[in-house]
Amino acid sequence: MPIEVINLNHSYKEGTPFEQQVLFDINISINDGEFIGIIGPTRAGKTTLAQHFNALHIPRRGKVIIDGFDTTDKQTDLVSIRHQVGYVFQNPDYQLFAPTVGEDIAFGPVNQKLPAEKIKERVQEAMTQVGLDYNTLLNRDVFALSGGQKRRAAIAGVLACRPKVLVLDDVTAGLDPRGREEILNVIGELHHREKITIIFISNSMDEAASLAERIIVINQGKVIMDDATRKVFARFEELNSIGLELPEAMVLIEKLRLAGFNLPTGVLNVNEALNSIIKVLLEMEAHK
Amino acid sequence: MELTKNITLGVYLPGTSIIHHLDPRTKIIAAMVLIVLLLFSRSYTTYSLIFLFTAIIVLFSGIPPGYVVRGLKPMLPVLVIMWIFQLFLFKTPDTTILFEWWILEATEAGLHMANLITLRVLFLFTVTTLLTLTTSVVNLTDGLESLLKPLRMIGLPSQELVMTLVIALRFVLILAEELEKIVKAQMARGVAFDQGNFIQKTKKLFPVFLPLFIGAFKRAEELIVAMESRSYTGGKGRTKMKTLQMSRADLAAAVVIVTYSIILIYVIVTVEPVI
Repeated sequence: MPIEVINLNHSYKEGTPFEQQVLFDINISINDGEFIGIIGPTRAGKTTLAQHFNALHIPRRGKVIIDGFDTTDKQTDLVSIRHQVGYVFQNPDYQLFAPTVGEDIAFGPVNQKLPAEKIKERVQEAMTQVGLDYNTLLNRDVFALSGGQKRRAAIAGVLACRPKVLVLDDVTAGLDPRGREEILNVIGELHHREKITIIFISNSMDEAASLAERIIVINQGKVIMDDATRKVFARFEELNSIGLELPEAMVLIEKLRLAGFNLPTGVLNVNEALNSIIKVLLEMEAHK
Repeated sequence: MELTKNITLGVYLPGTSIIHHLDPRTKIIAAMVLIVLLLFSRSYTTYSLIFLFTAIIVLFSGIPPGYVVRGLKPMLPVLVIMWIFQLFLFKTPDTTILFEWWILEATEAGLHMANLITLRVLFLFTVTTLLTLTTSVVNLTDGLESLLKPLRMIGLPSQELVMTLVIALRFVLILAEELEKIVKAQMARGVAFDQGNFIQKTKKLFPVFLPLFIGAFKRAEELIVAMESRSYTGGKGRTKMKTLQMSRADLAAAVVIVTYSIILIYVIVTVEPVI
C-alpha cells in the first residue's frame, strides 16, 4: 500500500481570522514494508501530516494518493482506506471508549461488519500481537488498565482492523521506561514478522534512531530531510539547530571522540555504541 | 475534519479597534440594552434598524463580517426547525390561512411569528458573540464582577457566579476540540459519520459522547485541583491587579447607545407590530 504525498499544503481554520498554515509543499512517497520515523520539534506539523495518510484530513491544496486512490476524489472509499491505514493516536484516552477491553478492540471489525466468530478471532489475535493476555483482560474495564496497557489496547484496537500500514503518533509519550520498551518491542515485531509498513512519529530521537530505517525531519511545516536514518543523523548540527536532541548513544560517542578516542561517527543506538567502545578498548589493550 | 472552525461563541479575537478598547462594563451594559430592546421588537422596521446598528458595530470592531456570519451556521438546523414549528403552530383567531398540509395549516400570523422569533434568536446570538469576540476573558470577568458587586449585599456570590460563567464559556471550545479528537479516533476505525439516515447518524454519536463526558469530568476535576492548589477560596478578599477605568470613548459609546435606544423605543411604540 504505497502512499504518495504530492505538493500538500494545509491550513487550520481556513477562512477565519485565526487561519494558520501548518504544512507547506510536502512531497513524500512511502513504499511497502518501510519503517519510517517522522521527527521534528513540537508543533512542526507531524500529526497534521500523518492524519493525511489515512484520510482524516482531506487535502484542499495538493494530493494524497493511497494505494492508487486519490483521497480528494469523491469516489474513493475513505472507510476502506482508514481500515487499511491504521492510526494510533497520541492519547489512548480519546481512542478507548467501550466499557471493556474486548469490546473496544472489536470496534473496528464490528464496523467492518464481520461475522461474530471472525471478530472474536481478530480480537484474540490482536491482543496476542500486543502482548495483552486474552483470558484475563478481555472483560477488564478499560479505565482499570495501566498506562502501558492502555497504549497496547489502543494499538490492538487498530491492529484488529488488519491494517497494511500503521501510523503511530508518539505512542510512547508519558510511559515509564519499561512500558516504553514493551511498546517498542511490539512495534518492532509487527514490522519484522507481519511486514506492516510503520510510520512512527516520535519526539524521542533515541527511539527513532534505533527503530526506523528512514527518517523524515519536519520543521515549521516543511520537510527538511528525508533520507536513510544514518545519513540523517550524520547531519547532527542541523538537527541541533532546529532544537532536536541527538540520540544519547550518539552524544556519548561524539564526546568520546572529542576527548581523543578513535571511534567511528554515525553511531545510532546503544548496541552500536557498546560494540565500538569495546573494540577501541580491546585495541588499546593490545597496544599495551 | 475541523469542528472548531465554525465556533465563534466564547472566542476572543484580539484587535485594536475602538470597540476592543471600550471598558468591558460599557460593552456588557450595551449588549444588555440591545437584548432587552430585541425582546420588545415586533415589527420588521425595528429589525431593520437593529440590523443596521449591529452592522455598524461589526464594521467598527474590525471583525471580518464573514466570520460573524459563519458563527451563525451551526445554529441553522435549530433555527429552521423553530421556524417550521412556529409557522404551523402559532395562530390567532382572525388570521388568514396561507396553505394547508396534512392536518397542519400555516397561517399568516404563524409566518410572521416564525420570522420574528428567528430574527430575534439570530440577533441575540450575534450581539453576545460580538461581546465575547471583542472582550478578552479577563476583561469580561472583571466587568461582570464589577457590575454584579452591588448584589453581594443581598447575598449573591457574584465572583463565584462570574467564575462559573467564564469557565463554562471556556469549555465550549475545549469540548469542541476534545470532540474532534474522539470523532477522529472513531473515524480512523471505520465509523462513517456522514453516511446513513438521520437515525443512523444519531446512533453513531452515542459512543462519542461517553468519552466526551468522562473527559469533561476529568478536566473539571483537574481544574478544581489546579485552582485550589493556588489557594482559590471564592470571591472573598480577592483583589485586582488591574482596575477598570472608564474613558472618553466609553462616554461617547454611552451617548450612541442612549440615542439609538431612544430611536428604537420610539419606533417600537409607534410602528404597528406585525403580530
